Amino acid sequence: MTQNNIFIRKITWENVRNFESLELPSGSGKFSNSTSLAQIQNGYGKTTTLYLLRSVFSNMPIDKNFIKSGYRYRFPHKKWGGDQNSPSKFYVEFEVNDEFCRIGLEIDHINMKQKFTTFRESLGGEIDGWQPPNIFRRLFEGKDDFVKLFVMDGELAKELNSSTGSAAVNAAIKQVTNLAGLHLLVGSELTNGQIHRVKQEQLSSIIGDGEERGVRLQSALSKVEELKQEQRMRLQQAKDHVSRVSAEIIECNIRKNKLDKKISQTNKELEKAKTRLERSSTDLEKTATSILERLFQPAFSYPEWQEVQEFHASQVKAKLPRSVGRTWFKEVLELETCICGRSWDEHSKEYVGEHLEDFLDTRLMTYVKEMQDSVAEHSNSQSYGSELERLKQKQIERVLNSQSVDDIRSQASDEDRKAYSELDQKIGTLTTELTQWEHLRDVIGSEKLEFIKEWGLHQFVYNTDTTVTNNIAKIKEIENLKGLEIVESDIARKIAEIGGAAEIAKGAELVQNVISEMLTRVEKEINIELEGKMNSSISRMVGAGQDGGLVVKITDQGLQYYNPNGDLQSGVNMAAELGGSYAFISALYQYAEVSIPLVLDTPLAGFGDGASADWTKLVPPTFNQVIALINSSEMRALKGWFEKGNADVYLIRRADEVIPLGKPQTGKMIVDSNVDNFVTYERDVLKGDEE
Amino acid sequence: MPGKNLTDRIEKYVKIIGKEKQLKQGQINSIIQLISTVRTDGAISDEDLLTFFELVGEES
Repeated sequence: MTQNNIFIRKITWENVRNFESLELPSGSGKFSNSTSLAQIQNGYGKTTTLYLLRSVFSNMPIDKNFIKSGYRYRFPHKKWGGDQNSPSKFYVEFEVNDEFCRIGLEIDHINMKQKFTTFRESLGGEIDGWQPPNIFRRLFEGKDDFVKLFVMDGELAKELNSSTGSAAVNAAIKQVTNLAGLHLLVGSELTNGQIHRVKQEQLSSIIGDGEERGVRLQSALSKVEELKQEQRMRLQQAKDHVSRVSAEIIECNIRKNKLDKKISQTNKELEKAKTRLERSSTDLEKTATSILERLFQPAFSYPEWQEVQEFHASQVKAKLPRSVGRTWFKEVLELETCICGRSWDEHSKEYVGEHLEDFLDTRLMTYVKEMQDSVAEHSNSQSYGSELERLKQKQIERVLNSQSVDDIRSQASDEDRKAYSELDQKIGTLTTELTQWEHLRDVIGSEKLEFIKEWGLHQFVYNTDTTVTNNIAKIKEIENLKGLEIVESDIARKIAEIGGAAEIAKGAELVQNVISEMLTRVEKEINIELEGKMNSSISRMVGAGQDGGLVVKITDQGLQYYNPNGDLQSGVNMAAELGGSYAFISALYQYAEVSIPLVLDTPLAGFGDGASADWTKLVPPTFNQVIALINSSEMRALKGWFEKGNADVYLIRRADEVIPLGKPQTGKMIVDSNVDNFVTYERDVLKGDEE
Repeated sequence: MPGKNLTDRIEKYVKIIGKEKQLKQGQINSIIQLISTVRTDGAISDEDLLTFFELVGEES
């Protein structure tokens, strides 16, 4: 799975603790793709370097409590080139898939600030901030637990073997196998992953709590459909009644006409009076219509119209602003042909271009003139008052003519008068009934907004916030079919939304279940494989498997050791713990999608020579690059190995030191690449310790 | 190297579990695609995740 490579090529310190100014490797040197051993005397800055490396990898600044003094250059004098008052600077040069990238951390002790810097050619050089290539960012940003695994010290090695390290072990497996992102998706419980959150945030407002909302809406929709059916029946009944009552009224009028004919045989005036009544009724209607039309004419309805008219008359000669006319000419010049129909030629265009300003000075834009003319010419000789008077007159005429007809009819015989009276009474009753049925018909069936508004037919259709109601109690109050259709359409839309959302929610549930189960099965398999590989490594290691016969298992309590009888060993020696940790990391590393360097601080502390030899067989061959910061005791344990050319060696020491003594600790810190010096460093001190 | 075929193993398990749950091939492919996206990009936006829910949900 390893496809990407990350290598550390150089580490640089400036005014950091014991380091004045140091490059490792120095000059144009670079860390190779194999193992590098950097021997540094205890107390010279191995742990400091480890913490800075973790910050650089993870983009996590150092603890604020340590800014003031934790990394500050420690010597008040400047004899060796260091400056206590200058910021501490730490740089790491990386090669990330062949791209050079340098990340720095600068700590300003005086102003209590720290900042990352990044150098990349693609960024145009060095910039402030942590901006490594994407693969680097994705792997390490904010993942200090993961970074600890390969920028490792004895402390973490121990932690992996304790219950507090169980989280580290499990997190390490997830991160190295690149399954951590999937765990964030599904969550450690069903309710704390991204899938659950997105489902809640995006879908719960539509679906509601459980299925209740859908049920409520479905019930409301059924009610609307039922009401629509009822209202359609009522509408049909109202229409039938309108037809029936209208027919009855016509029938009554026919009977009245028959009576009229009978009377006309003796009194010829009745027909004439009826004709006059009919004419005056028509006149009244025409006059009312005419006045209604006039109301929309400004000259009739707007009292100040004359002033408007005078103003426009005075502006008839006005011209458009030049800029407007100029734009119009330019548009015309861009046409293929002129508005006169002829093709433009260069001469014509040139002429118009040269003279358009003159034209704009003297000519008017026709359509503006037309509008102004129509305003100036619009007038009305009738006043509002005179028209009202005319209407009133027509009404009186009609009343008089109606009275005249009634007078003649009153001269009929008693029997006929009684018949008239009964018919009029019936027509009156029927007309009232007709009006009621017509109103009911319109209340149910009208789609005219004016009518709906006038009678407040949709007051129960909408809520106060103008949303459409889904409340059954309110829906029951709606008689108008159009209103019921609005509610029906809204509920249907919401139900459709719920249907779609329910589908999405189902999809979320399936994704959650499948990925969770997949992770359980794959990780179980990985754990079995890891244990197999770890135990294979441990069985060859002194201090753990080889002489102790221990077997290590990955458990919820971290790495746990069992003796050959299968008994849990609550306490094992440090060598066994370290061996187990290295075996775990080595086994785990084989799942990594990226080749990552392993940086170790004092990796063999607690190991004897035998265990150290085992370490050389296990750790360096597993990783593409190992950088180990070691002390002189570890150097001695590894001597036989690195002398065969298995590792690059660097001695970091002070310039004045006598090599076998490692003293005096004076002079500038330097990198000494001499192998003899590397081998003999602190020899006399170690000899003294042994004696 | 076990890691080499981890992606294959993930796909294999998604297919097995998908069959157990009687998912259609399109749904299984969508889940595999989602896993690949998350493993490649490290994470996925809420909007893109919803798209995968839709893809899987509409076939159920």
